[in-house]
Amino acid sequence: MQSNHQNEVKYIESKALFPFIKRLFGYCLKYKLWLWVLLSAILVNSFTEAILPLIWKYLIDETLIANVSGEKFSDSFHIGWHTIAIFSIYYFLILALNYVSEIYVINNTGKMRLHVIRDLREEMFRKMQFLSYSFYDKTSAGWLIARMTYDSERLSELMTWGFINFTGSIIMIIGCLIPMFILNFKLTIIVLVSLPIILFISLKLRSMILKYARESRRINSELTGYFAENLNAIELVKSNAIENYRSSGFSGINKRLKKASLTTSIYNAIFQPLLVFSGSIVAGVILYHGGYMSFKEATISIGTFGAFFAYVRNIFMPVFDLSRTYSLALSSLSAGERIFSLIDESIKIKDNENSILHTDIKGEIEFREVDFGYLANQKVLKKFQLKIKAGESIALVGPSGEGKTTLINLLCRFYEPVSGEIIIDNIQLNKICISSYLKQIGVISQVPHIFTGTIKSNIILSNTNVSDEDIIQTLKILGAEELILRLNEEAGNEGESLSNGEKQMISFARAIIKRPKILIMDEATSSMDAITESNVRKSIKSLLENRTAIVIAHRLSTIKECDRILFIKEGRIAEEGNHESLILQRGMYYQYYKSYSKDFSEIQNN
Amino acid sequence: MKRKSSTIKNLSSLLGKNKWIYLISSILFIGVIFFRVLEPKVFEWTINSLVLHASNKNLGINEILRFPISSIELFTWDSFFVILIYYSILYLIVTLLRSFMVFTANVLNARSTEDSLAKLRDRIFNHLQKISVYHYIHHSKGEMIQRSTNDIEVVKSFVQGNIVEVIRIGFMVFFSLIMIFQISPILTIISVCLMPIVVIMSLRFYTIEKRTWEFHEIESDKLNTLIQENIQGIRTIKAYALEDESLQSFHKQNEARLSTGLKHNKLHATYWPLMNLIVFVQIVITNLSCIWLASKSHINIGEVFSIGLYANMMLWPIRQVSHIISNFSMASVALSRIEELLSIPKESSFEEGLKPEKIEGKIEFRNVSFQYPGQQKNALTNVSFIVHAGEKSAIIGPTGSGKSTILKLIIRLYDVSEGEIYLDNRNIKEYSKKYLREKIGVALQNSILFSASIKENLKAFKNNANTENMKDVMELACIDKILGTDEKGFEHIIGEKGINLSGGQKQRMAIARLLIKPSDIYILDDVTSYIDELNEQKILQSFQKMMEDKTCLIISHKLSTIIFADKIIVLQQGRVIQQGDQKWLAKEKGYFNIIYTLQTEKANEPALSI
Repeated sequence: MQSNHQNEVKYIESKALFPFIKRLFGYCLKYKLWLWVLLSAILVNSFTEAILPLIWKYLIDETLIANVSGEKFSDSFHIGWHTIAIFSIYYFLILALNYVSEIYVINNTGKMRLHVIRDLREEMFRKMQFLSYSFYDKTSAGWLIARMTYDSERLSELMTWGFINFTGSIIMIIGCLIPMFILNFKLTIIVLVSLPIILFISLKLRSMILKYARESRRINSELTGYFAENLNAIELVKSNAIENYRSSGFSGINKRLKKASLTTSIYNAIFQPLLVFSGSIVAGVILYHGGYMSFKEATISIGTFGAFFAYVRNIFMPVFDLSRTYSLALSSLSAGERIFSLIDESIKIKDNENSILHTDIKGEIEFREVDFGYLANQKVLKKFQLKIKAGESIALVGPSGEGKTTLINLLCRFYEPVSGEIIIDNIQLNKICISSYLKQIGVISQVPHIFTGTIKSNIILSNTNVSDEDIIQTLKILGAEELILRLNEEAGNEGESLSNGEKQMISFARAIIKRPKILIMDEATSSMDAITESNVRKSIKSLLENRTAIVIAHRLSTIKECDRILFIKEGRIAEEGNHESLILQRGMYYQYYKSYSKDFSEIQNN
Repeated sequence: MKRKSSTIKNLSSLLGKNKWIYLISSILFIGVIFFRVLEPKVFEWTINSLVLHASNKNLGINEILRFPISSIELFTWDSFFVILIYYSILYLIVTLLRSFMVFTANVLNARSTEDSLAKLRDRIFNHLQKISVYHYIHHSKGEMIQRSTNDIEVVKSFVQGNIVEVIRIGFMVFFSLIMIFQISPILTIISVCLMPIVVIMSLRFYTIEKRTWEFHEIESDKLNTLIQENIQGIRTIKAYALEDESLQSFHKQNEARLSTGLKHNKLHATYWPLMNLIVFVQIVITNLSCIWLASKSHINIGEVFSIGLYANMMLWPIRQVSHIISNFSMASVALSRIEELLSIPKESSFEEGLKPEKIEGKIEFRNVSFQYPGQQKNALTNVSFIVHAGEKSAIIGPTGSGKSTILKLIIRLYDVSEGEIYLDNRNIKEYSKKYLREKIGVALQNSILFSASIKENLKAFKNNANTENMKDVMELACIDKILGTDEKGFEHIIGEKGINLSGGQKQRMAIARLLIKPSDIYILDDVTSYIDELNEQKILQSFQKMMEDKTCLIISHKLSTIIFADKIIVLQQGRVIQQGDQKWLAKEKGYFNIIYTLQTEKANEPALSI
C-alpha cells in the first residue's frame, strides 16, 4: 500500500488550511441537529465535571473550617442536616446533568462518526466507479484500499472524537480557570502563566513523536503490501520452495518497522512523565504559596487552598488531551488530504448534458487521425486512420505492444485520444452517452476478471432480464455444454476454482449474451484448449453475423473468419487485406505467418 | 471465563522471553502508583502541620518531618517556612521519582512488546508459508491480511496500553484503600460500597460487548472484501457499465456496517455513562461520610482533604474500566483470530525426507486418483504413466481435464488420494517436499511476478545469480529487449508498483525466472499462451537448449508448444485416454488426432494458395 499517487494535494502546506478544515467539518454539518445537541452536551458535561471541586470547597468551608481548632475539630461541632441536604441536592443535580449529557456525548459522537465514515466511503466509492482507466494505470489498488479503509477511519475519528476532545478540553480548562479566578486571582495567574509553556512543550514533543509515527506507518503499509503479495503468490512461492527467501524479505521490513515503532514509543515514554513533572512543579509552587496565603496571610480559606490544589492537579489533564488531539489532527489531516485528492480527482471521461443516448448502434466505426499515448511523451498511435463498415469483421495482427489493444481501449472509450476523433455511425464517440454505448459493446478480454459469485452470475452480470434459457442457448452455441451443468457453482475468490480457459469461456458468454452490436475479442481464446477453441471458432461465423467485430489474435487460426486483416506495427497499419492477398504480398504478415506454420510442417515431415 | 484464561495464556505465549522485561516494567508501574498515592499524603501533612503551627504549638523538627531522623536542635528560623519549603520540596521529589519511574517503565514496556509483536508478525508470515495451499482456498485473503495487520494492532494497543492501565487501576485502588484504612476503617468500606455493582455490570458489559463487536467486525470484513474486489475488477465493471450495480451492492453493505456499528455505539452510550454515574455517586457518598466522620471528631482536617483526593484518585480510573473492558473484548477477539490462523497445521515432511544429490528424472504415476479437499468429483482417476529420465513428455487435454493437477501432485502441493507416484523408483512421499520443489523447475499457469526489481525477481530463484546469468536468461526468454539487460535495467521495478507488463511479457519474465533456477526436472504449465508466435518459437528453442538431457513435462493445449515432446499423454476428465508418440497418436483416432487435424489444417490450407 504505497502512496505512489502523484496528485495528493497538500492543503496544509499550501496555506489553504482554513478552507480545508471548513470542508472537513462540512461532513459533520450534514448532521446539524446531532452536532448542536452534541456541543451543548459537551458544554454541560465538561462544566459539571469542572465544578465538582468547587462544591467540595464550599461544603468544607461551610461545615468544617468554621469549627477548626488545632488539628482536631472543636467538640461542639455540629453539622446542620439542612446544609447536608442542600449539598446533596447540588450534587444530585450536577450528577444528573453529567449523566444525561454523557449519554448524549457518547451516543452522538459515535453516531456521527459512523455516519461520516459511511458518507466518506460512499463518496469515494462512487468516484472510483467513474474514474477512467488512466487513473487506475497510475494508482495502485493498495493506495485506494488504504484510502477507503484506514484513512476514512482516521479522518472520521478526527472529525468526531478529536473534535469532542478538543472542545471538551478547552471547556474543561476554562471550567477550571473560572472557579480558580473566583477563588483567588494571584494563584490563578501562576497557573495561567505555566499553561502555555506546558502546552508548548507538549505540542513540540508531539510533532516529534508524529514524525516517527508516520515513518512506522509507512513501513507498516509496506509490510502489509508484502504480506498481501505473498498471499497472492503463495503457489509460486511454495512450488519453488523459496519460502526462506520471502521470509527474509519480510523480516527485513519487519525489523525496520520494529525500530521505527520503538523510537516512537520511547518518545512517547518521555512525554507523559515530562508533562506530569512540569505540572507538579506548578503544583509545588501552589502548595508553597497557597500554604503561605492561607496560614500566614489568612487571605484564603483552607477550603480554597484544598480546592485550588485539586484544580491544579486537574487542569493538566485537559492539556494532555489537547496535545493528543493535536497529534491526531496532524496525522489525520494528511489522511484528509489524500481522501480529498481522490474525491477531487476529475473524471476525465464522462457524459455531459449534450450526450446523445444512442441505443441502436449500427456499428460503423471510423478513426480519424487519432493520436494517442498512455504517457505524455510517448505515442502509441500516430495519425491513425481506419474505417470499418457496419457488420464488417476486422482482424488486428502484429507483434505485441504495437497498439492493437490500444485501439480497443479507445474504441470502448476507456481512454480519450490525444487528438483526432473516433466516429460511430457518423456521431463523435465523445458525444454518445457512455453507458448506453457500452451496453451495446461486447468485449472479450485476454485475462477476464471473475467476480465472487456463481458462474451464472458472472455470465449475466447486470442483465437481469436474461433468462436461464438464454444462458443455456449461448453456452450451447459456444460449445461449452459442460458449463451448463455448473452454472450454480461458485467461481471462488477471483475465480480461483476456474481454469484460465474456463474464465475465457465465461467472458465469451458474458459478451455474447448482451447481443452486442460491436463485438471485440482481444486474444479471447488464448487459454482455451484446442477442441474448445475449435468449438468456439465454429460458432464464430454465426456470432460475427450482423455485427461489427474486431478480433485481436496472435493465433492466426482465430482470425480466419474475418473480412479484413490489418497488420499493425508501430502504431499504424502496415499491411491490409485478406489472408490470401497478404500471403501473396510476401510482406511482414507472410513472415509472421510462416513462423507459425513451421512447427506443424515439422511434425508432418518427421 | 474459560475464554478469558485462554486469552491470558495466549498473551503470555505471545510475550515469550520478553515476559520478564514486561514483568519488570509492570513492577515499576506499581512503584509509580505508590509514589502517586504518596502525593495526597504530602498535602495532608502540609495542611496538618500548618494547622498545628497556626494553633501556636511549637513544632519540633521531628514533628515537621513526620519521621524521627535525630535529635537535631530546634531550627532557629521560623518553622512556618521550614514547613512550607520542606513539604514543597518533598512533593517535588516524590513527583520527580514518579516521573522517572514512569519513563523507565514505559521504555521497558515498549521494548518488550515491540519485540514480541515483531516476532509475532514474523511467526504469522512464516506460518502462513508453511501451511498447505489448500488452506488458501478456504480462508479469504482479505481475512488473512486483516488478521495479521489490524488484529495485531489491536493486540498491541491492548498490551502496551490497557494492561498497564489495569495494573495502574488495580494498585491505585489497593494503595488508596490502604491509605484510607489507615485513617478510618469504616470509611474504607463506605468508599467502595458501590463497587460490586460496577463489577457485576462490567462482567455483563464484557459479554455483550464482545458479541456486538464480533458482529461489527464481520460486517466490516465483508465491506473490505467488497472494496478490494471492486478495485480488482474495476476495468471489467467499467467495460460492462456495471457502475450502478456495484454502487448498489456497496451501499447495501455500507449500511449494514453502519447499523452494526450503531448497535455497538449504543451499547457504549448505555454502559459508559452509567459506570460514570456510579463512580460519581460513590465519590459523593465518600465525601459526605467524610464530613460526617469529621463532625464526630474521628478524623482531622488534613485527613478530610486527603481522603477527598484518594477517593478521586481511586474512583476516576474505575471509569476507565468499561473502556478497558471494551478493548479487552476486542483484543481477545483479535487474539483468538490470530491464534486460529496459527493453529492451521503446517505441511508435513517439508524438511525431512530423502534428499539425493541429483534427480535422474524418471516419473511414474501408478493408478493415481486425486480429489481436491472438499470437492466431490475426482480431479484425477486411475492415472498411470511413465516418463523416463531425460524424456520430453507432453500432457494435453481439454480445460479442466486435470493437467495442472498432475503438476501439483509431483511437487506435492497436494498428496495423492489413491495410488502412488514414483520419482526415480522411490515413492514421492519419501522425499522432502522442500527438496522436490527446489529441484524441480515449475512454471505455473498464472505468471505472478513480485513487485520488486527484475534482479530481485530473478534472485529469488537463484540466490547467487550474477549479472551474466541474468542477462542470459533474459535473452533466452526474449524479454531482454523490453526490460533491458544492463545492471541499471535490472534495477527496474516490475509489477504493481513499477512497469506494467502485458500478459505475454509477464509470461516471458516468468520463463526467465524458470530458466535461472537450477533444476533437474522441468514442468511447464501452459507457459506460452499469451506470447506471440515469433517470440514463442524463439522461447521454445531456448527450452530445447536448456532442457536437453533433462526430464521435461509440458502441459499445454497448443500443438506448437509440444513439438519437441517424445511422448504425449492425453487427459480427459481426469483420465488418461491416450498415450504414445506424436506420429502414432496423430494417426490413431482420438483427441490428439482431432486437435492435430484442427491445428494443422489451418496451417496447411492457405499454404496451398501461396
